[in-house]
Order: sequence, then C-alpha cells, then structure tokens
Amino acid sequence: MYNQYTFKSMGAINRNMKDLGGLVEDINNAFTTGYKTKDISFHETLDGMKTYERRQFIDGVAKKTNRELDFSIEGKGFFEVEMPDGTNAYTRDGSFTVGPNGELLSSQGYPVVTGHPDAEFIAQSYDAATGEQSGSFDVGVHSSATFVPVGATVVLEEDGTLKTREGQTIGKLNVVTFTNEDALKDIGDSLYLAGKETGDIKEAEIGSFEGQTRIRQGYLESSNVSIVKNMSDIVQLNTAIKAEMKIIKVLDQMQENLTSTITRNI
Amino acid sequence: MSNTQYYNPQVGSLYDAMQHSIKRIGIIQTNMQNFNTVGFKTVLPDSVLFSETLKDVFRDESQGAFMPTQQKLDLALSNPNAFFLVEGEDGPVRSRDGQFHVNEEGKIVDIQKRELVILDQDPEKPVAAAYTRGADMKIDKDGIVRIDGDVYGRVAIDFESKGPGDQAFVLQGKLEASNVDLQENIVKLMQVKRHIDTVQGVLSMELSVDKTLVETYGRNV
Repeated sequence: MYNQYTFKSMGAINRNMKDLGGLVEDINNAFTTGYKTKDISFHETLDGMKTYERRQFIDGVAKKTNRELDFSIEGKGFFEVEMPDGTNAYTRDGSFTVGPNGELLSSQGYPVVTGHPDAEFIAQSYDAATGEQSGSFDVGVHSSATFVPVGATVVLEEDGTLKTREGQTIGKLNVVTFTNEDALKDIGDSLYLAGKETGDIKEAEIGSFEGQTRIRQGYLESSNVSIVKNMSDIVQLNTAIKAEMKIIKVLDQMQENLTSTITRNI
Repeated sequence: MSNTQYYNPQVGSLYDAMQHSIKRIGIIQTNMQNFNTVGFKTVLPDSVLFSETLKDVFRDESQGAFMPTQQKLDLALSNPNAFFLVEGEDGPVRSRDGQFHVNEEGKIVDIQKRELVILDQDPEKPVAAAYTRGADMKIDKDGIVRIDGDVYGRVAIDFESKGPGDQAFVLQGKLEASNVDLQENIVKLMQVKRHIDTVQGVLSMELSVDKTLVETYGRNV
C-alpha cells in the first residue's frame, strides 16, 4: 500500500511538472510574435484521468511596426507557408521578408502561400500516429510562389490582396481556418501542421465587418501570454509539488517506523 | 481485517486503527493530486469509516472557483446541482465538465468526445459552424446561444434534484476549478501522520509487553 501511494504521488508530481513545463514555455515565448499560450487541463473521467492540451488561439495585441511587410491577423485564421518538404504549415506570425530571388518569405524563411489564378492548391495533412502524410484537402484557393517586384512598395487591400503602389497584383494572402483548430500540431517556431483531427480547412472570410477576419499591414500580433497569470500558476504548482513531496516523506517515515517497530519485537 | 483474527485483540484494534488512517492518507493524497483537475470535488477524509471502502466516502460538493479562460466554448455552471447534458452511448448523460471544443466533424464535444446537447438548434444553422468561422458567439446566463445577435439554440441544463427556486447560471469563458484546499489537506495529513505515530507507539509497547511475557513465563515453563 505504501508503494502504491508513493507511485500515485510520483504520478501527480509528473503531471504537475508537465504543466510547469508548459508555463515555462509560455514565459519563454512571451515576446514571440504570434505565439499562443499552451493550456494543459486535467479531467476526471470514468476511464481515469485525462489530460487535454490546446493552444489558446485568442488574439494577441496588434503592435504597430509601420513596416510594410508586417501583417497581423485579427480574428480567426492562419497564414499559410510552404515547408521545404512541400507540405504546408500555418502560422499567425506575419513578419514577412523578401528573399534573394524576390519571393515573399515568412520569418522562418519559408515561402508564403498566396492565391494565384493558374495553380490549384491542395493542402496536405499528416497522420498524428505515424507522422506520415495521410491525406489532402482541396481548400478551394489557388497558390504559387509569390514574388515581390524589385523596389516595389507593397500595399495591402482589405480582402488580403497584395499590390504594388502602381496597382500591379502580387497575390492574395491565403488565410485559412480549421473546423477544430485545437488539434493543430505545434512544430515550433509558431508553426502548426494540420491533421485529420483538424477537420476541414476553409478560406477565412476576410473583411472589416464584425465576425470577419481582418488583416492589418504595418502591425504584428504579440503573443497572448500573460506573464502575471503564468507566474501565479507557477507558484500554485510549486505548492502542489511540495505537498506531494511531503506525502512521499510521510509515507517513507511511516514505513521506517513500521519496520523498526516490527524488527525491534522479533 | 477484523481484530478477532488476532491472538491479541488490542493488537488487532491497533492494526485496524492504522489501516483506517492509511485509508485517510489515500484520500488526502487523491485530493492533493487533483488540485488542478477541472471541477474536481474534495473527498472528505473524515468521512471514511473502518469497514468502508474508499468508494463509499463523501465529497465536498461546494462550488470551485471560476477560472477565466476567455475560450468561448468553456462553460461553467453556477449551481453544484446543475449539469450539462452530453450525448452518451445510451442517450444524454449529465456532465459537469464544461470544457468543449468543435471536433473534426463540426460538432461541439467535450474532452471525452461526447456531443453537447443544444436545444432548439436549427439543423441548417449549426452553432459549431458559426463558431468555426469566427462569428461573435455569446452564451448568456440562461444558456441561450446568440450568434451575431441571433438566437441559435440553448445549452441543455439538467438538475440532480431541483428544488423550488433553484437556478443555475451558465458562465461563458470560464471553467470550474477544483475545490481542493491544499493547505487544509496538508494540515489533515499531519494530523493523520501524528495519529499513526501514536498508534505505532502503542503497538510497539503492546508487542514489547507480549515479548516480555513470553520470555519471562517461557523461561519458567
């Protein structure tokens, strides 16, 4: 029984450490553009304890940068970037640059996917268990690499279309939403991958009406981490871990006393 | 184990007392490890009786604190007697766990993938679809779901035992925290530990008396 209780306490400590890890990761990324808080919750179910992890896709504050290739999303949606292996990843980080060949790149250095009338774009997904590609979704938008003309000033239109000041169309930023964004797989660098569990991928309704997604030029979305809340949660977790350690100590002392009582009287 | 099975009834009683205290430690431990479990209700360590198993204990059903999460599908209920209804295998079942999300099939489900029952929902205008496209979704205290101002349905709420005047308010963007008080449980742990120490002390004394008796009389037999 003592051992069983000790293992139970160790399990609780492990869970709290996992929670602590999430809070520390959040604090580390408090100043990362577009970073979303990780939320780990524990639930009592008939099948035992269940852990549920999700990113809190709540808007961070849009910070003005006045840089023409900085874009922030207000409302639902993700920018789409093409990974080196040809798959597509999704990000809220709209800090774009122009590559050596004039292509529009994300802050991670991956091409930003925009609409183009000539090439149909198919989004790919991975299998969470095997990591292999498991399917594709026709998102109903079109894509190809986006090139910014040399020396051009990029202007964003309300519907997400990028144009030069002279009126030449560069491309339309692909902003997509998911049926179940909680299931997006975090691969670091503020990038996420879609999977079967994310459900349908749809083009976001871009506009300035209420309920629509708005893209702003010259702004970047801050992380939505609340350092104060995280610090308070860390203090609470610290107390819980100490309490579990206390239980282990008490169990150990009890076992020691019991052993000494029995052996003394043999 | 009953103390009648021991050669010495005092030793049996002491053993039972210790077992009882160990059960209480188990309960305190369960409380502590669930201090951050959504909606967990404290198990009362003093409610465990000698003969009972841990399943027979009582819980402190008082309301846990409401944690703001800002998630539109995180819901809490203001009355401990009230429950959400979710679709179980054999029809709707009650649940206090208000952490919902939209699954890949476009249904609002809890973390056990059971669909939330929303009454008066128009099949042509599902709440989940509006939520997914980022519409302004508000759930008021009566559970009425409004999207961009229009009523889309009502979150079903059931009561365990509804008395006259009993009401439950739905709180959107909040989850009910566990009602475990860590400090109180640590104090209880110390009390139980002292009790066990005392029992062990008496047990030790009892055993040494037995030993002395056996040695003294055994030598003269």
